[in-house]
Amino acid sequence: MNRRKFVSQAAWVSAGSLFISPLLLPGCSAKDLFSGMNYEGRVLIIGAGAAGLYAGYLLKMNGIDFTIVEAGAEVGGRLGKLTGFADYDIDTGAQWMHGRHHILGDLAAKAGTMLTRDETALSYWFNQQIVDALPRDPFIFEGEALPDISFRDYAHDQGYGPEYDNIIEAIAGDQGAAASALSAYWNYKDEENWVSGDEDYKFRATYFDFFYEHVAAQVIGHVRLNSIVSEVDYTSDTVAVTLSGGEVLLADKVIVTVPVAVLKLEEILFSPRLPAEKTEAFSRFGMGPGMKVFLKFTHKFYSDNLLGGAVCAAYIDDTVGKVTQDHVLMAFVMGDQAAALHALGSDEAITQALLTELDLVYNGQASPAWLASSIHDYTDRPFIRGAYGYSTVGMGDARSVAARPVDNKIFFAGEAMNTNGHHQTVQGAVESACKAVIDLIDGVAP
Amino acid sequence: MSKRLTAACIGIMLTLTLWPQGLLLEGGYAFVSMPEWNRATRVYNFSRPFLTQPQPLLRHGYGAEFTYTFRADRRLLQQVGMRIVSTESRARGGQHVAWLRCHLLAPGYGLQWNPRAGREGLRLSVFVAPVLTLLRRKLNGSWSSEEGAPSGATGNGGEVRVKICWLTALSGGRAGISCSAGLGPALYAPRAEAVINQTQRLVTGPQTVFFSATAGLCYLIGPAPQTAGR
Repeated sequence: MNRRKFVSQAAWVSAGSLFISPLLLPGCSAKDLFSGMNYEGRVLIIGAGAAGLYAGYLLKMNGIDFTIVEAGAEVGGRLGKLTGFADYDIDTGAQWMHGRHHILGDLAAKAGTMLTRDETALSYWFNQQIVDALPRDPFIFEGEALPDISFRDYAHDQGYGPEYDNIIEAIAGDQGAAASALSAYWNYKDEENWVSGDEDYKFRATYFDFFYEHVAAQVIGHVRLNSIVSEVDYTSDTVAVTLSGGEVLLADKVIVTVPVAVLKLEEILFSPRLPAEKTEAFSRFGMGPGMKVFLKFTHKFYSDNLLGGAVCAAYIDDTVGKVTQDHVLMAFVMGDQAAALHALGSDEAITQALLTELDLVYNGQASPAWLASSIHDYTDRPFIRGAYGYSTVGMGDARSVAARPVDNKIFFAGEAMNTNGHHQTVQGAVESACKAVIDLIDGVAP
Repeated sequence: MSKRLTAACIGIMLTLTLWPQGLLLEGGYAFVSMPEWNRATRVYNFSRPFLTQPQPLLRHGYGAEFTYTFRADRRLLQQVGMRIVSTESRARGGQHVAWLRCHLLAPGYGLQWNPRAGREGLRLSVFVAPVLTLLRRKLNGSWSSEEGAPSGATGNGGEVRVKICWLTALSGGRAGISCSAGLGPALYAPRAEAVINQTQRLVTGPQTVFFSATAGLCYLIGPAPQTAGR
């Protein structure tokens, strides 16, 4: 081969490489993802909370046959709405959109939904007085060097005295946990992947309305309410889902979106039993008592946000971002404090306990100004069984193990199954639903 | 350290100045493909069926390249070059408009086979280059700047690229057409998914292989190479 011929051939080979190289690259082909987009199987979704509804929404938009079975009498799960209590509608479940850089933020932008950034300042009940700043910064739960011990133990190890206990309780309560149960290390590791943005937003209407209008309404015709699942049999190719009344529903694939506490308590039986590593992973989640108490007053005498109460670690002005003439304070009670209030046994007793503390903090102004209360206790609410899933001491990789599909037939979604840092949020539930549907359609690598 | 660096810079400048040289300018269409980024984009679109215009894959854009040829007294020439590629795509849904932009910078070193030195015609080059990328998202007209939400993701890697250039005489210089194809085994951009799909480590890994190709026009500035003859 002479030089001229060599150059000529080399030129052709190089030119050819322009077109051949993309074919050699995995993922350049449009078929690498959602290769089974013409999936023709039938899907059953258990639970009509945010994850279940969004999973249904995605399936519907892709023309896939599905049914959602919901144990309760209404959709939404831990999204809920209270009407008539005040002159505006109140979110009884999730109420803040945490950051806007996520699916629901995009949906809100697309829909032109009115959001208000919550910029209210924190104040603290500390050493029997209200202060705007603390002697020491209590937000110390970030960094790789955190040990796998509870928030409370870590704070004590760092020299924070008992006067900080209720402040730390409030910080842990934001994760739906008691400070004595939430792992400093694993909570940080979970949140390391947070990319939604750090600002909190409130809906001019309600989170529930937003989600219902744009997601739930699209699939409401596929929802069967009051359908309690008692057993999921995935022995054969077709999954048999038995309802409490004995009715059996058949599906090719099932997406389980019930709260992790329901899975922990084995309120749904799986046949065969789920792999031991999976049930063990469920057991490592925390999902404890939690309640929201809305207290309506004649006027505002309280701070926008007050952390550090012994009965309730976080009091929050619920009217921020709303158009209202009313004055509603929300007691956000989680963990041990929620358990203590729950144990009082009646709405009157819970209200009285909170008013007593507010009277102490605000010099007796609470009780005379009190008009009404509305208590939303998730502690033993049927089919939910707690506030939201959190990382306990020793959590390890439980979240990713719990979220893993079983036999390419049973898929898991929900806020607790979010493995990318957005757990405990509605967007996290939605993202986990997307992941489950993608795995379902695309097939899961063995 | 700074003395050594200065000496090295002076040495390079002298080398480039004293030896016969040429500057090749190229510009035109660019195609890039990062499979992991494509996957993140597909997931973004799949999980947002409410978009009226889904996010196109970051594939098509424009590229420019400046290649400095030295040691032009042989058929095997040495080159240093700088390649810039920019791509963008836009998703839309009602009031939601999301722009994605990717800039790729590849300062490379190459060898050129110039079979007909001193004449117009075909040239074949092979480049190795480190590659730097910057991926950014603009939401509803403003760059994402919220704390806790990444507004951009940088990446770094390397590529091997083959380039063909055909030149012919044009008044005052030589002009022609060129095309190239490059393959990078690994581009490390751990935050890319956070920018594209607003999630982290949910659907992609931190690195991706990548492919790029360009096609366009070129113009050679400089003296005709002094050849050693055939």
